[in-house]
Amino acid sequence: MAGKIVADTLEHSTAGSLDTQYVVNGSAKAWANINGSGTVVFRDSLNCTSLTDHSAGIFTTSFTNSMNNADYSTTATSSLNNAYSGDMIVMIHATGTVKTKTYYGSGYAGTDVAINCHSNFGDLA
Amino acid sequence: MSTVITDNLTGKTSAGDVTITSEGGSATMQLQQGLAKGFMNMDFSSGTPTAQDSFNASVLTDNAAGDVTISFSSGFGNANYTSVGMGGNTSNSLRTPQQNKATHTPTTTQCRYQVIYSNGVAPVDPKYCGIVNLGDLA
Repeated sequence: MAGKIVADTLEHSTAGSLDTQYVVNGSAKAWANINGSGTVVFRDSLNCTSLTDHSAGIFTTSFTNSMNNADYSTTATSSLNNAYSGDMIVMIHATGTVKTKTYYGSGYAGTDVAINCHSNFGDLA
Repeated sequence: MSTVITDNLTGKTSAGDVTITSEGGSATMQLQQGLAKGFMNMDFSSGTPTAQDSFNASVLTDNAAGDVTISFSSGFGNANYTSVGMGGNTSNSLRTPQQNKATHTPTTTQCRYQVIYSNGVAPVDPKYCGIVNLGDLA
């Protein structure tokens, strides 16, 4: 049987103490490193189950365990495999999915880029 | 209110697997995987990036303008970790740090980042740049 600790605070001998709400609320609830060249695929991820490729640069990441609301925070970085930087923006936040778009330059047209990383912070359901 | 005083949390069934219950109470997730495994706040204003604050980062190497390598104190379990970050130059000019897998493949112990304008090509020094890394430690 696995052990279980129910506590409000964690205290380290030298590093100080931390309210466990920061552990629970402050942990990323989902993150993903996605190869967006052609068909989108996960390189690695947490709490992400599938990707839906809509069109160039636009895809939806589905979560294994949904967020409690659609107001969670997403931070993202993307880049092509050469010297161009890409921008990755959130199009739609939903409790079970996040739809994003990557592009570069000033045309804002969706563009497949090699490296797409996003992290999501908020409350799980 | 209860307090756990300890220097180490280790899973009982599996050492690297400690589970926490979600805020809503209907899900559980692994504690270790959701924690940031490294962060770096850098100031490039002098022309040489300097760490303002960091976690699990041992060395900051200045390769060129807007081009920096961060070495990790504890290495990752694989090179597919997630890096998210942003930078800026005072009041304008969003600049994003990017991994460049074509020419500088990330490794488990270090990653080279190039900071580029959102529609730019060549790396440039930002005033500020912050990077967070998420993934599995070795």
